[in-house]
Amino acid sequence: MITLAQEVFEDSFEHLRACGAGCRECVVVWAGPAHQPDLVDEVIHPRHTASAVAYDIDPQWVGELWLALADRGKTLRAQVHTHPGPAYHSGRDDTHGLVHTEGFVSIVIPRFAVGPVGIAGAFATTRTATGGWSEINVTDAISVLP
Amino acid sequence: MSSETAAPSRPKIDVNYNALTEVLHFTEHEHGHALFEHACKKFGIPRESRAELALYLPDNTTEVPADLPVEQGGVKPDTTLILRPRGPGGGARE
Repeated sequence: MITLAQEVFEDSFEHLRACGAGCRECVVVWAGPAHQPDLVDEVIHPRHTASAVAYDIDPQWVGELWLALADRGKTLRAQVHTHPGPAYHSGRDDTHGLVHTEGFVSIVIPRFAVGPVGIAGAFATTRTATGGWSEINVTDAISVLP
Repeated sequence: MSSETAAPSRPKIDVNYNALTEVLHFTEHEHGHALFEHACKKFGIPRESRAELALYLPDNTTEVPADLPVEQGGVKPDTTLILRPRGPGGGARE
């Protein structure tokens, strides 16, 4: 389970709402210390393009981010993105995930994240050892500290 | 001389994947594809996911050519290559 501060969680919603403006999907990624696999302490808003039903992260930006995080002893733990309607993992979400190693978490927030800040209606899944995804309860995926 | 004894004298590179670094040794005639597979194995990336990834030179733009010996493909010892997805994304559209 990933533990993160309420501030990181709220900041994530702020990015998703401000960028998505209630009409486009958006994505943020969560990073944490490489030596503390269960901790997230930073939200990052990727360079990306988006429509109402899709988003694409600039792949070159990903390389830049990974080099920068390595300098700070951090790694990515999860990706969080919005859907226009219900939250689930689409075929596109399955195929184009950001990280491919076991345990990486993907969270989908419904309705462009314009509802109350929280996990109501959210969907969570983790990478399996064979590169697929396995749905888990959001409450088993993340713990938001007050 | 055993292969284990010879390994340290081979040229080495760092590979960064998800901000983690692994050191890989390579041989003069090793092709880019073999280096890519070696890197994926080191990071525990399953075979099923590898088509989504590529290995990039330190410029973070040029893919290491799969079908050329690595040094001919531009890989220089003691540099950092980046293993990253070609097109990350997602969304409700199938």
